[in-house]
Amino acid sequence: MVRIITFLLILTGLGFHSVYGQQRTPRRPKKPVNPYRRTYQQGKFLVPVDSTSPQIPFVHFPGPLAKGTSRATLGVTFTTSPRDITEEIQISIPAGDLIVLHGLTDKLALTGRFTFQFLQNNASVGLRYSTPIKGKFYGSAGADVGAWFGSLQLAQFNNRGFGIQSAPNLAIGFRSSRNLLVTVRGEVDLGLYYRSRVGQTVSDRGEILLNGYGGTVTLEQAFFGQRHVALGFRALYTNFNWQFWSLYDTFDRNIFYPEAFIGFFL
Amino acid sequence: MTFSRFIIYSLFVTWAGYLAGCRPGLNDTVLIPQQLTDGLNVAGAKLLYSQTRKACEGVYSVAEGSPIFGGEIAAKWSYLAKKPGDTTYYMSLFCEPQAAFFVLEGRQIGDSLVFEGFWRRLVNAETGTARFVVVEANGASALLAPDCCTALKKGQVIFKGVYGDGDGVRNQLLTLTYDRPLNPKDFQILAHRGGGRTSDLLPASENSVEIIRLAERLGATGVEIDIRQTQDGVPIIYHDNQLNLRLTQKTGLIGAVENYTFDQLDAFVRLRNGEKIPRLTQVLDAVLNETNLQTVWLDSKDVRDMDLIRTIQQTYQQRASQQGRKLTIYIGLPAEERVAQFEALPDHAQLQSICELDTSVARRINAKVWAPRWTLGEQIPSTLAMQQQGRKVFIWTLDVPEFIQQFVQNDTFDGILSNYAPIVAYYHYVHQQ
Repeated sequence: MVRIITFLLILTGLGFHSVYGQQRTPRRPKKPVNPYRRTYQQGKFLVPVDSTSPQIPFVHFPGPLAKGTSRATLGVTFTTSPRDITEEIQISIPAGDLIVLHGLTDKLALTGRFTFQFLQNNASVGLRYSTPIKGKFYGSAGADVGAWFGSLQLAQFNNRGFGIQSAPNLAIGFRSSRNLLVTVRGEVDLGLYYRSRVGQTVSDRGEILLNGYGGTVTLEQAFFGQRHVALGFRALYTNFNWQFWSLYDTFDRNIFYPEAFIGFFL
Repeated sequence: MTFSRFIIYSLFVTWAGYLAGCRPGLNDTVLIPQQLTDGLNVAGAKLLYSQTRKACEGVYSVAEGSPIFGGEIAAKWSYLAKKPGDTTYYMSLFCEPQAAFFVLEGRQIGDSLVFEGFWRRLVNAETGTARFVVVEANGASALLAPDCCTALKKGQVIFKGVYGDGDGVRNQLLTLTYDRPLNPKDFQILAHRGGGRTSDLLPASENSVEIIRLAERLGATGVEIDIRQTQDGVPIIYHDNQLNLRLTQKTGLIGAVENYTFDQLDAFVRLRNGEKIPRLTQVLDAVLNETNLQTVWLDSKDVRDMDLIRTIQQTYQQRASQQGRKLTIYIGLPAEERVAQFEALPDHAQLQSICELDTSVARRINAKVWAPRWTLGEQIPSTLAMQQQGRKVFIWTLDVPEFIQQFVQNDTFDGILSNYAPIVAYYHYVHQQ
């Protein structure tokens, strides 16, 4: 009995130790400051490729990005549901949106995008080749390949969906001032694979389909002091939009999906 | 950057998006080509006897022509009785790709059979005209002979056809060869909203009397319609909560249909294709007197007086019995509130009803049909349990061809509710048990 009480006292003592912080865990060592963040905080936002390079960060603008430089935005997109599919209900569906750009060479960059809604998510990677065209104009060509996955296991749904898509794209950028970048981008929406499961019944197809096409206008700009944002609008005309996979649209025609987005530079 | 500049730039982006978003004309109804029956209205042309029409029904192989209508086609007749003594018979051909279908009228001209009409793909706006001929050497005599109701042999009848796009010249060949009879299983092909959605650009608006008249040509053996009640209690057929441009033409009226009397709706509101919002009784009159539909699913969207709906249901059920019609009118119960209203009826257990809630509720109210949502999957144990209790199982609202095919082939359900009745009809009729 005495042993048990002693043991419990020891345990209790250990508990008090941690509660009152008498036994401190060692502090984590400070991370080295990201050189990009340091220059950003100093108001220098880019490693200039040439004397005309923009002075603000960008992920959409088709300007060359110095080798090894990374940029990222975290923001939100709002896609309006089309009445063709959702009928009397028309809502803007929000999704988290992380965009990453990493310079592989001075003109070639790796692109990445993760759009997340938890029940359905889309991750894509791609390559982008950018070059100055003339004066304040820049251009880029690229292609993304991405996969989406959705799972709806609630109420009257027992569905899962998965698909692979690709989006070859061209963009033209205009540097209206060193603090405002305007980008117009066109893309082709290709479906590479689709699979859906309802209960135990599965449907899939593997042929390459031209789903549709889209156009995006983006402004990248300084915003309230040192904060920078990418603000844009995307008009997507497509036969399939992964965000609405669970509605099983069967129209064989392109439907207009307006999408507004804002991203804050990290 | 100032806040005002931010607002200006945002407005610029929105404006650019708006311009990019304009797409005029894509919501227009697909017009049925006009040159439909010119080739039938010739001297000496005779209407087809019922046994000839019956003999034409079957599954045909596509023997010649492009594969855009698939490898097999199911032929099925229907009729529309416009008034006593004025009945038009239509032969519909149901195809696999893209919900394609043909609607044809037929005549006997000399010793041949001639069919003319139009084709349409329901999932898009493609349409055109078509003409088929069965000459004597290709089996016309087997269809015209009085004893033709004996089963046809494979290859015995050949439809030689041509079709074209829009109102253009019919210069593309399509030859059909008789293969086998239609799948005889008793199965309900239920057309959503009376026959199809307005957004599928049909020539009649959803939930109208006109779409009911079209439903059988689209392959339906039954229809689902949406019931609401006007301010003065008149049961009407309308889907949405609000009067809106998706379903109606522009008027001065806004808000819920329940805020208006029937006379106000009748006077001022027109559906997208110009029809009036019909009373429930008008729709049931059309079903009973003008079509051969077997099932009506009254989806009680917003019903305040369930007793009135029951009375109407019983009245038309009795009329159908008196006319010798095989017609069942079900009261659809999509939510707990409707079930509670239905259960308050003293004789609810004897009434024909469809329960969209779970199986325990269906048992409790003695629903004659259990109707789960298709997105739950086939639910085979529950479905079999319901069927063993003598209930039918319909699923709603399934439009995806790949899933329709699998659900039909698995032989689980007694009916499928769909916006694409031609697809359900195709997979059902060609299915070999």
